[in-house]
Amino acid sequence: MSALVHVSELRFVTPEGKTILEDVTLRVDHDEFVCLVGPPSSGKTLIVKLLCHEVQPQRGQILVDDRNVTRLHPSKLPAFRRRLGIVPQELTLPRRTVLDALVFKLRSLGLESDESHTRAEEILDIIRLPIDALVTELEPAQKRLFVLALAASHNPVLVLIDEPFDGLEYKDAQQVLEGIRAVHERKHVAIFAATRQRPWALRSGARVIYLWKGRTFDEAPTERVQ
Amino acid sequence: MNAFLVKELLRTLVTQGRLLVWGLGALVLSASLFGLFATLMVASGRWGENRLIVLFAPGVSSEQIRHIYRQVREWEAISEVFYIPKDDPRAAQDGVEPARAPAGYLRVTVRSLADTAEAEAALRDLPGVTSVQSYQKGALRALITSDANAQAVATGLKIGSVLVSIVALVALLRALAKTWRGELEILYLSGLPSRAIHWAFVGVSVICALSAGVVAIVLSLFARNANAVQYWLPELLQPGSLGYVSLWVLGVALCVGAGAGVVGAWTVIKNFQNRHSTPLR
Repeated sequence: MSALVHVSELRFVTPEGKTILEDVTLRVDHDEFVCLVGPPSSGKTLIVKLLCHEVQPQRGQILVDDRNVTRLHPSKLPAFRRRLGIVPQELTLPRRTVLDALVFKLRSLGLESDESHTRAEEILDIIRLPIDALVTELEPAQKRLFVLALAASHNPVLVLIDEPFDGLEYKDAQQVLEGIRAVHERKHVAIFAATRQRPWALRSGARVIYLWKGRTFDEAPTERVQ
Repeated sequence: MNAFLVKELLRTLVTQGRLLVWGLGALVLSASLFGLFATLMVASGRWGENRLIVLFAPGVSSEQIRHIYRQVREWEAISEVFYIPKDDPRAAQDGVEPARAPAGYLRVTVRSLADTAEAEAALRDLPGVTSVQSYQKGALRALITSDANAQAVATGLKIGSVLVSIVALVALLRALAKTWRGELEILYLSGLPSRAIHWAFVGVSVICALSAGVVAIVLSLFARNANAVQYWLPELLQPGSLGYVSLWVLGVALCVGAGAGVVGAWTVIKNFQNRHSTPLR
């Protein structure tokens, strides 16, 4: 069975000529939970952006769900994005209740009202959130979990998470980790999380990949990641 | 077009107090300006110039009137003739006071404007006819049709009213897009095509433009009976004035407004998307 994500020999240079990624190779299998750990500004978010075709590399190949992302035609991008769930580090939240926001997203994608409510309730059964609370008034950890619920609500094959634990207290980070695990286990979806929080990555039970000086490693490099 | 998004956008417009005030303001402004546009069109138009009012001499018999009526009806240059009896409400529309037409009068429409002067002379020569007059001109219409500067100002006002309506509409869409920042980010992250979002906003702008047009038409119909309007634009009461502001002209004006709203909506959303919607920062 082929991998869900297969990245090989990826190189990315900024327009200013700074090399961020030198030689990145990684693989994520179906239903797998992978954490990418690296120091700040090492290119973790960039890899997430590359995986969802937000930016283009100078070299290398990115295969996601049997699609060659580097050669994806712009007209195919929306359909490709619908196969993914994206959890950005920050998101401007709507002034809606949790349930209303989830239903809004699902109905925008063309689902009927009943189906949208069923799916929203299904994901809220996995990620426990107060359904009638305004999203903007949730606790920090709940906000992260809400965005995760949004990302996973339309049954994507892969959820990409950027810095899930950043800026959170221990208890909140623990709550977010439990939410990620619950989504992974109960929805059988592959998860790729990029984080600089090595302890949380190790605690997550995910397979950990390290990003150091533009290259990926299966073991922590000799030089300390963090 | 994603009907759900259009419905949600309209719901936001109605339920958010600030946007509702803004929206109603834009609607009233657009409606007023559209009313101004339509009024200026009536005032600067050349309609009704081929219509003549034929007044009878005092003491003319009804037999004579019938004879004149049949005679005029047979003329090639005349497209239609109506006999309007004394105290008929249509006399007020034609601006004919009952005292001036104790035996009623004829409303004659000449087929071609070029033949009007000739027809007027021929009607005047008929026995039993005391005078022939063309439709009266209100103060505003007289000013616009007689003075080149006034005509230029009227044209400028017409263009300006459309432009200001568009600006009001675009400002409303801007406010709506700003309120929907959270929703827009969710939509972009969900992989909804940008064009689906654009078209939803375009749909809302078209609905707003059409609503403003409908409100303007309704207001114009009510305003026709206002004293001030009757003084400045007695033509509005005359038959044919609304016919002159024909539905297709209104339609074209609305389409121009809606079309410009479309372009505005597109630009606003595109700019917004470029500035705010990068999901991964």
